[in-house]
Amino acid sequence: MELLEGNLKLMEIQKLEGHTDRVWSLAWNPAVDGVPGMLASCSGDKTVRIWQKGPSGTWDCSAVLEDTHTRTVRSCAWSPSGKLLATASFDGTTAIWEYLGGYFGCVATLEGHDNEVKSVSWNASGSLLATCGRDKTVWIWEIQPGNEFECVSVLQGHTQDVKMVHWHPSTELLVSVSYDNTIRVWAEDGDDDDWHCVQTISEASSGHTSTVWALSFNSAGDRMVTCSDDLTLKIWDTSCHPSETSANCYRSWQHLCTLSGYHDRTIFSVHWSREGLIASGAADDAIRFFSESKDNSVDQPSYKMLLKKEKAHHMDVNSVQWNPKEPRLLASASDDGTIKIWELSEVSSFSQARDPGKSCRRKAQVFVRSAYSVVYGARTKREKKVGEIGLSYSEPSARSHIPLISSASPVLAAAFLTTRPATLEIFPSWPMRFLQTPKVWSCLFDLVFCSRIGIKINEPKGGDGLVAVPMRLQFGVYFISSRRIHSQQEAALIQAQLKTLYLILRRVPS
Amino acid sequence: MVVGLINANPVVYEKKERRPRNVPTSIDEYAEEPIDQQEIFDHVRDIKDPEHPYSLEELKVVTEDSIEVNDKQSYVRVTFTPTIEHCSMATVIGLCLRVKLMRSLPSRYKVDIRVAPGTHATEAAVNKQLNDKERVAAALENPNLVEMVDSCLEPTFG
Repeated sequence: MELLEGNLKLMEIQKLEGHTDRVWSLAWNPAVDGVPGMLASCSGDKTVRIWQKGPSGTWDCSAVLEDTHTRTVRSCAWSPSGKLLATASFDGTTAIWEYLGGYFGCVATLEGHDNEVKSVSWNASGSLLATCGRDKTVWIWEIQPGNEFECVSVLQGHTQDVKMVHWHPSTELLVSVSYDNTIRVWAEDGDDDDWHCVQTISEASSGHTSTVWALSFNSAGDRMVTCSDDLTLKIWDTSCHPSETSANCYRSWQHLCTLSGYHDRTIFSVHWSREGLIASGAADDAIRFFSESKDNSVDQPSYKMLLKKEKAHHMDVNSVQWNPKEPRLLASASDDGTIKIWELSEVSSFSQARDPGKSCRRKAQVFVRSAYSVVYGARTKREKKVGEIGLSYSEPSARSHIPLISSASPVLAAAFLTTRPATLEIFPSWPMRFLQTPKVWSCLFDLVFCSRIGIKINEPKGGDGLVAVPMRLQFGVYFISSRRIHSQQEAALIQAQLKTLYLILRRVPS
Repeated sequence: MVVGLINANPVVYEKKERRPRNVPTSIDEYAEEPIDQQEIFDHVRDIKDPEHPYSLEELKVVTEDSIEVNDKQSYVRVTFTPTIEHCSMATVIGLCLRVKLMRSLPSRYKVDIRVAPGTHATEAAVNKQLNDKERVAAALENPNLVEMVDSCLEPTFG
């Protein structure tokens, strides 16, 4: 969590347009083997859209799932394998979609609810599906071979419509939240093999005082966050205490803390990232980020707000979802009909050098992605662009990198660098056997950068001395090859050598 | 419509005279003219009561003073007074107010609709329902309800 200590900034990467009514809900595909990364969105326009990252790095709509639901599609969820998409609709049905090579086909329709279905969730193993709706019930469906879904239980207990259902990330516990202001926990009881409500968290047990809209677990599953129309977020301890038997531990979830005074209007969505960051989206058009505060861990855990993004959308924010693979990538959906992709990044660690008098040396790495396709085939020109180079900033202790540059987010680089008057030193890590000279360039930001950042390229040991120092700092890396590249193997070899470019930013004494 | 009206004999009040919009103090025609109480009232005063041929203004369900507006913060709150305490039409009236403002105001506006405190038996339940946008969205996909709302709103598009 080291990276979170500095100031954070939320950068808009892209705005996805296409829906013709409010967007209610989002779901990232888990992107496991063989399934490409996808974002599904569902809307009041009765459609579901699938968004995929194209070769240029931008997110494009790759499919529109329509003509199946006859009313608002309220919620969507990918199965853990990423192969099935479940969509819940106000038309009273839940549809199951499968990617059938090139298109999505509706392979099953689950009927049973009296009216609007409001939420759908897969359990961790993908063997069970839960749905809930305005008829105050929660249904549990078992997945049978051949895309057959059998209802194994209809759970009654809520006294008003059920807004959301969500499974615990590792155990077979189901949580539902409702317009009746309560949170209910459901489990399969050993004796009669049926599902029962094992816990109800109401106002009397420090619960919410108005509609509970959403919930999310942290990755370990030992904490849960809920959000409500009462303008608060509540954190719950969902771990098993040593004194409890495992069969009992879900009966006594404890209220840990209440985050109030942040959102001004109903909080519709909350999502806990793998890294422990809580994002919330609300009817005040804002997205907020919270994390556990380490300062006063003496008795009660406390959470603090890290960042508030006002006017994240023009209208209510209905859904916020972290990307499961890239922990700093967030998608949000709004009444304004758009979806936005955001990147959360740290902005201040360079300027916050511990000893301001000394130069601040940090390493940044440049990763080469898909170099081959561009290098190979170079025939006439000597200067070839080596694919898209992503520039990431990382600290030695950090587990992840903050991407600074990609074609999808050039703005990040601008913001990153303009906040730091510095000299940029570049250390290619590869020997320059092929006379490849890095020329750092970009097209958009030279004016912004030139005046503030000096540049120096250091020749690595073992190189043959051809180093170009560009007049302008531009980003992206070109390589000049002194000869043609004849084969795929050769190109692969070059690519293998282009591993890391170390960037050192040296603070300019002010 | 239905057999037996819920409030068979409502008190009908006189309509307020229509004031012309305040003459702008500046003659700059590009000057921003903020949305005010009067403008909101003009949007909703002619909404027809769901069970009577009278407007909400004539039944004093809404008055100019029951409207709070803050144009800078893009916020409107309309407080309405059902004609009787057990009025089952309260949610329909509230829905009409919401739909009318949804269609008339810029999308940046946040709208709260509520029953005047102490004027309805199930005040909290009505308020909660009217301000749950998911329920409102679902209601507006119900053709019968939409027809009812549209007929109440018809006189406002004069």
